[in-house]
Amino acid sequence: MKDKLFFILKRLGNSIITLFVLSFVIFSLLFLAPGDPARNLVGTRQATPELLESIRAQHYLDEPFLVQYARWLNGAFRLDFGTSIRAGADVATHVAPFAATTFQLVGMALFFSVIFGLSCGIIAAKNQGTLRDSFINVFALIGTSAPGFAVGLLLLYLLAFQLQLFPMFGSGTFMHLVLPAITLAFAISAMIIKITRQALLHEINTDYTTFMKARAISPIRITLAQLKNASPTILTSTGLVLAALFGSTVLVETIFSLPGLGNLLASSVTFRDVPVVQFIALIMAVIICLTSALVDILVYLLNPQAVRVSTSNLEHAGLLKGRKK
Amino acid sequence: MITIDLQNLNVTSKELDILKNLAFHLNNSEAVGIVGESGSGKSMFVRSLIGLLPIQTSVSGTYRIDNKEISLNAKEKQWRTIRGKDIGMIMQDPFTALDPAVLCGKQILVGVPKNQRRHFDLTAALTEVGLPTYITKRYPTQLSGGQRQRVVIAAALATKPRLLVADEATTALDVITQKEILDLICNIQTQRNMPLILITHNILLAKQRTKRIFVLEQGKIVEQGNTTDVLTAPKQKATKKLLDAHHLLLDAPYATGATREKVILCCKMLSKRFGQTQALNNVDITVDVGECVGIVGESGSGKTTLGRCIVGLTKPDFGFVNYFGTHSPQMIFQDPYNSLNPAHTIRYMLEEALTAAGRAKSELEEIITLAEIPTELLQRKPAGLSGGQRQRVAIARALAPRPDLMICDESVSALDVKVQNQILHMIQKLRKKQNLAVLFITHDLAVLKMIAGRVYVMHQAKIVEHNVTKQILENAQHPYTQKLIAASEIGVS
Amino acid sequence: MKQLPISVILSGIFLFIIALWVLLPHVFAPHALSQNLELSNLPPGTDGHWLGTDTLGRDVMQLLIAGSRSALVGPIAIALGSLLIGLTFGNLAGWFGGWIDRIISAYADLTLSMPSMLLAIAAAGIIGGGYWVSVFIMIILYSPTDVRLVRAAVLQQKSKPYIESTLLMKLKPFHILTKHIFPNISSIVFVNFFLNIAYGLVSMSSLSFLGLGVGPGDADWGRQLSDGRQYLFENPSLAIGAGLLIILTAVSINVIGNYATEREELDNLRGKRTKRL
Repeated sequence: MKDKLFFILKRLGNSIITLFVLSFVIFSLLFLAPGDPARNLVGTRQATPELLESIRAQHYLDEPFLVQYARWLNGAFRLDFGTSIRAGADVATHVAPFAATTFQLVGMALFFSVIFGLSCGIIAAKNQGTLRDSFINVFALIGTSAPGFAVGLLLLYLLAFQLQLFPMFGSGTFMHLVLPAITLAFAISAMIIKITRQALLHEINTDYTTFMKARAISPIRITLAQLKNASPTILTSTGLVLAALFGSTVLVETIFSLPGLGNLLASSVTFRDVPVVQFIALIMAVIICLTSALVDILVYLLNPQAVRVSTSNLEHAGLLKGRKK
Repeated sequence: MITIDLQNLNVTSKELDILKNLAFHLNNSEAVGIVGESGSGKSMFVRSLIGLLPIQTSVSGTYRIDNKEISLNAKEKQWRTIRGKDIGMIMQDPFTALDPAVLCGKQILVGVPKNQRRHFDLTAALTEVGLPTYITKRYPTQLSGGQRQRVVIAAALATKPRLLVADEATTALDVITQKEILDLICNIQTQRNMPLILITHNILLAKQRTKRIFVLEQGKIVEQGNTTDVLTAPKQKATKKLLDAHHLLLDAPYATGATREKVILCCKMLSKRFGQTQALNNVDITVDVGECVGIVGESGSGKTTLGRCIVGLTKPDFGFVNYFGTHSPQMIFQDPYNSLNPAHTIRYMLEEALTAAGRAKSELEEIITLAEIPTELLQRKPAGLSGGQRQRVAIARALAPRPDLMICDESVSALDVKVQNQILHMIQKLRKKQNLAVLFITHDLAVLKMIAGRVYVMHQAKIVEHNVTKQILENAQHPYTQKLIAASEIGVS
Repeated sequence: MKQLPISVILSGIFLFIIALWVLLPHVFAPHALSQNLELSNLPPGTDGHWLGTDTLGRDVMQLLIAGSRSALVGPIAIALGSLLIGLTFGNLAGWFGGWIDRIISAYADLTLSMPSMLLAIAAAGIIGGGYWVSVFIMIILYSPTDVRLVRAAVLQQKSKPYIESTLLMKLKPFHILTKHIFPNISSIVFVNFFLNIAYGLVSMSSLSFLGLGVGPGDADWGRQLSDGRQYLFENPSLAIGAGLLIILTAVSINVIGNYATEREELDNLRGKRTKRL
């Protein structure tokens, strides 16, 4: 019990440190951009000397870099992330509706992919070498290698335009989210299939499986044991897949003209709306850090004996590659 | 009681015959041995008994248990009525046979039929295999190899089988543990009066532990009958070959020792720790010029670490390695398949070694003659060489810098006995001709007897005993050495 | 020699054709950019323009052929750059260990835990976009995986007896790394290079699709997909064609890459089996 608590605290502490590092990187974004930070904060407005001066004053740009960072961080703790250049409104209020859309989209996609990916992965592994396995493999191959936006476009053309099953563009209703979610889920579930199949196949070919079979232990119990042993790999990779999921939202939202975080990020980048970019990057960082911490804790609680899966193992198995999308 | 009758068993995999026309009968509570080299089809035979053949294989034949015919192509559901209840199996590798994520007690329990699970006595089951009760609350990774194999046996017995099959059940273990586990299995067999099929590559083991024997070669039974009869007068080549495959500690000749003169290597108080494990604990050894010294111990005793510390591949935490030679010591590794770079030809490797040692490439002739390597091998890559040839190349390469000391880390244990003898002979010749000192690390007492004049016995990171080989083997003082010799005399290796 | 699976052969033929397109655009698409507003928006199957024409009257087939070059040159550059960085730093980290290893691994961990696509978009947007800028950003984002791959492979080799024996022979690290380790890890590294081209294609066309890669109107599959998207329902052949080409190229590279990896693993497995006998 004490061990478990210690592990959880240690892991969360780790995430907090990572978040600090990331927040620093994110804040530096403003300064990394070529040119004068004040001009960057002007965005696409007319850069009159008065405006530049007021921006410098407003953002304390004359102060040393670290003081500015501390000020920004302090604001972030009080949930004050500055003012959007484009909308002129408080960043958090401005971003909230976009975030809501994206979270719904990602949630739905994750739900589809986990259910579909896990079951297909298990079916493929349990029927290795059969027609069903090859079929699932082909699907996984296309899903992991084809870019989401191209697939989305084809789906849009076939399902929404030719077959008229879904509304084409826009947002607001549940049906508007289904096709984008399927597009996202297409790639993500393919990754989960690949991971699950590979991890489970590894367990199926173990001696302990043979020994359990030799003792006439029920097939369901054997599968559960195999899944338990495969769970560190599956959970860890699924956690990483979530990061990829946020990456692909940008493209999918653009294809389907959905007003989500990704879309907002892309347009804020073009408009040089730095405070919004920083805020979105921070949200993503928090989500990703927390997910990976949660996954690690879950893996540990499920299976304290298991050797922790290192990402380099996964990479070696070619599982992480797909997430570059 | 159980009767097993198997006729015309044929197993093929991708057009390849694995078992041909096999007949097997068992109706006594006796121990039966099935022996053969690896690849002779022993494991496939066991697997066909319980329907666990690999997917790509096809099988035919008539199979009867207690006169009830069973289809060899039966569905999983039917096999599940046979597995565990009629036939129980002990797996080869205790390190992988248990589920790493489940407590040992639970693993034994899940095999017990549901209606009996509540009244199952775990303590009794563990006591039968010689384990304390607290093992139920341990994960397999927390146990030693021997303990794990005992858990495996307890798990196999928990399903109440009427026949026990042990498939190379001790091969992965150390000599002393091998003996203990074999004693345990045979005790259980006599106490439960249960038939036992012992599958092994080690014919001497079958000789001691079984009443009847089947000799398998390339999927066929070539000889069978009463164990003593078959083995005292073997009729088939395969049987003779298996008998010749083991050094007998008693038969092996003593090495001729060198007279001790000048010290070439002196290690003092060597200590090394890897995380939680102490690999070396205050180890002192000396080796003299031109002498062959043996280090004997089980896997994990620290003997390899000692060798690596001497050549400088591992840095000791504490202690001194004083080496008085002019050329740095060289090492011959255990695994001949990994000691040569697969990307290069033999010629390239040997010439590179000569160049690195500052010698001319033209001296290649000299080192290949010393290591007795035929010239035609020079153009080949390691993949085209046998294990023995590879080890010769490794020796030739080590000879290039004219070392004064060579460390052989289990250098012959992956080879056939015949090749082992040749290599050992060659090392002895080299030692005399080049006045080369050799530190020979091994777990095999017979090999040790043939090569080393003096021996250090290592146990749990310490040198527990040190003497002339003859003294050690005939008059061991330390209880560990005595146990090791007692276990080795049956010829298991 | 086992026969190649049909999927590998088909992928090979497809990639060969694409390679011809990339290398010889003048032969296969001589009139890619010639506009003729009188012939705009012709449907697929029209005489002489079997995929039809776009809004400016350009032949869609020729546009797609011309787009192959910018779609693939960048990814090859990404894979190459990432390979060089991977080999240099992976060898350093794997062989020497210590602080070099720690710094390199920490950097790799950091970039791997972030959604690289978002980073690329943010970076490209802030720096200002452009084709080679995107390639550069992608090299920075891709190289950590390659560094880790090479590092892991070197570490694995380092513990093998044949490498340890080179240490006992007192050979120089550079000699050991190039003559002894590289030949044994080259196949993994090259398969990875090949697969990186597919991922590079996906990443670059994503950026182009968002308008951060090539300029508007340039012949590039990602850009064509985004340009054609506006006319998806009236004149879908450009967008659909570009989308299909991206998908097919990426899938083909993966088919061959995965096959090579499986072969490699199989060979390793066989190696192990002979070892046991």
